[in-house]
Amino acid sequence: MLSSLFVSHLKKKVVAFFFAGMFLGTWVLLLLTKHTIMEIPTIRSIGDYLLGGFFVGFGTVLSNGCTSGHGICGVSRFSKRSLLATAIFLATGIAVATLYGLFIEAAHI
Amino acid sequence: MKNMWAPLLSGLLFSLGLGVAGMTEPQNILNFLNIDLRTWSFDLLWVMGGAILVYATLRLLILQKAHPMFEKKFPPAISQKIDDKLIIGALFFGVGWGMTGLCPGPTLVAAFSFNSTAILTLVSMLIGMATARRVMKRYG
Repeated sequence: MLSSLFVSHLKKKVVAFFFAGMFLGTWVLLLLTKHTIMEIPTIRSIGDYLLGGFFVGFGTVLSNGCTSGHGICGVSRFSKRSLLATAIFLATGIAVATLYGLFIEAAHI
Repeated sequence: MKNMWAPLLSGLLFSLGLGVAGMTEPQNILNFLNIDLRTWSFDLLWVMGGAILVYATLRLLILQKAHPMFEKKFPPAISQKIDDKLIIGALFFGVGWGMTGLCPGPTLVAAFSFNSTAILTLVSMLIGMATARRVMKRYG
């Protein structure tokens, strides 16, 4: 959805309405249920968010999918591409988060 | 205009689902990705597995119909070719996901709630997307 701003495989109007719905849903949660969307995360530095965010965006467009696109929609269709992409990003995600836990978070305790 | 209800309601359900399931909280994602047994949590697997179960089942029922509810025909089948871009892209995605605990959907929901960390991450994500677009244009 987000990557369709850069790769035109979806009608812009459909994406705009989807995002409007997401905005609505976010504020339904915030105003009606006092649900928190995100606490201020302290476990990672701002540099991690900037660099990690860049990698996520870069990878989403290059592989044409994300956790929802490949991981949920693609896997549900038994798409070979999506099954492979999901296995790769789960494996690297687990490896990187575990290494952070071992070497970076542990250093702060 | 009628068929704009489908993306609007889908977006609404998507953000409600992510928010209620706690997927917009990076710590919950990292507690799954970091396989430290003292803090390990299954939450992400339940959410992904649940979503897959629902869509995989409904999809089979939907495909029995002649056409989708709001369109005249189903979209054409998409490429099944496994190429370098898919593999390299998924590697980058996984590294960034493990660094932050954030992927595009939840980042957008959190940014819509005006969380400043999420907004910064989203801007960086958009720059990454634009960069990938340029790289793909240059090198095919």
